[in-house]
Amino acid sequence: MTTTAPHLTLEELTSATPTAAESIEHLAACPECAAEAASWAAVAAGMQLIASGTRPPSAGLDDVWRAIETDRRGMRRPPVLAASAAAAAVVLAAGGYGLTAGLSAGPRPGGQGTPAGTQVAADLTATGCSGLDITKGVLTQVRGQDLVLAAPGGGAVTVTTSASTTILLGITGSRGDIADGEHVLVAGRVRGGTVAARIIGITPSSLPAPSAPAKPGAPVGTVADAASGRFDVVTASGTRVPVTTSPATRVTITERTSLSQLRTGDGTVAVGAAGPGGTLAASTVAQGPVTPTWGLALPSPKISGVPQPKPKISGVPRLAKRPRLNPPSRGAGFTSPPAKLPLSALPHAKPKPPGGLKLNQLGCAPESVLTSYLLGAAS
Amino acid sequence: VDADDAELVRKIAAGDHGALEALYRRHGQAVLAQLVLVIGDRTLSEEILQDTMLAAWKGAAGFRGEATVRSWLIAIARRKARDRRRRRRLRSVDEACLAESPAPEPGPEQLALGRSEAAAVAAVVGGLSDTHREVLGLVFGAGMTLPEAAKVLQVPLGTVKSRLYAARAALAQAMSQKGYVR
Repeated sequence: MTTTAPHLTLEELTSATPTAAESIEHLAACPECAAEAASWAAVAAGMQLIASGTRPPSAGLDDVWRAIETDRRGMRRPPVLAASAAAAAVVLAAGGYGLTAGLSAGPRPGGQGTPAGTQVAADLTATGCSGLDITKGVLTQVRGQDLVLAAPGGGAVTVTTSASTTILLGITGSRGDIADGEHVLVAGRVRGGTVAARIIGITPSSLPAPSAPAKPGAPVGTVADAASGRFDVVTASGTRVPVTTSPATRVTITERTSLSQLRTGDGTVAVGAAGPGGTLAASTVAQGPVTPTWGLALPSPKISGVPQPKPKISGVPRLAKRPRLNPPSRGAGFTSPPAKLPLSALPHAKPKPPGGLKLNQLGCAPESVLTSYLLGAAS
Repeated sequence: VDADDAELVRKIAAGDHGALEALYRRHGQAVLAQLVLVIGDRTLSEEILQDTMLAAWKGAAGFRGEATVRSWLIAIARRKARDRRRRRRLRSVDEACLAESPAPEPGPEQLALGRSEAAAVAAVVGGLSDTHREVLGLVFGAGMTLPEAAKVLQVPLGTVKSRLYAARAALAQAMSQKGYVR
């Protein structure tokens, strides 16, 4: 049976239940429209099946409330929302700052950095913050939720992650990505009150910029008045810092990502709590776009076998600090291979942190520690 | 705009936490489903959902009621997701190209869709392009009207229609290749 009435519109065909009497009549009389409607209904059923199988997380709006409360108090954002923001700045640094320092440096994984007879359980470094350590290395393996980092010294660190771990990834951007409202970290040279940017890191625009301290040549804040070759950074204190860019300026963009997006072979930085057997339970993991980071010497890696006075984890000896014999000077220092470590030097020397920054200088949130480390490396 | 939804948004603008919770319970699943459908990453989608709800909290006073609340939320979520995707330089279909594609005539494969099981459709949707998954999700997953979808996508109504036809054709082709329809 056919009908001479106009065929049903797409709106009518895709509606879940045509209600207009003439539509229902037409469907009953028009095989073409009936077939079309059945086809769309099958598509709809498939899509509704997908939608119905997606349940929101049981934590509900917990992270939103924390973010609102933190904003209300004028504090930095807490994890998920805020950790991404601040730590994002970090990846910028991991992808930008760190890499400039580290590309040509240091021994390769499994290489020569470890003195004979010294078993390096982990290249973990105390941060000065209770329960937080930092490590870096090249991601060599992903085992389920665990990451294996080859440490510069030739050891390995197993970084364990969980659903609450913030995973960040830096990618290479361009100057065209810099727009008003973007959150940025800038590193460059100060000339007449203007920063000539060497590296610019863009952090997620949906999140507030980290409140790193204002440093000459390294402003952190929000982009304003972006134009070709220049923009202003409005810092948390409201100060406007003019920034100029050039074709030589490198731009790095940081994204929150998932574990599966991390790439083996890339330099990786993690902050978290040290565990037994050279492991680190990560709060934040960051990977940059051009990332070999073995040249970024951490101030006080821990070596197995040398107990520390205050064990952190019951039953597991605290690892002693080891000196970095060639503390990096500005710029060139980070491109020098880390020194080999004579065993005799292990328990005694007190190394200086990179760039003169203490790892807890910006606070003891994991992302603050990462930022401190990387800003120090960049300085 | 649903009166209850509009009232919730008004209360949110006044600082009522319970209203935001209620809005989340009412629309969170649809927003998250759309995000997962388009992004394909559950963890990232959940974070964008949180960002979206935070933006709703902050922006409730600016809601003018010109769209449904669900459309408003999904539009926020889409902006958040697009921002990240833009930066990640993910491969995506040229939307302009799609928009100019004529609506294909339904072939036997598409008409055979009408005999397909929902599970079979769901199984192949993930293989469609971002643009196709998005429009199908908005119209059939989130239950938007075509004009609402056009508003969220910021494209003309005709573009939504052409995308829907193209998405269905792609779906039918994929199902045929996998032996779901003959």
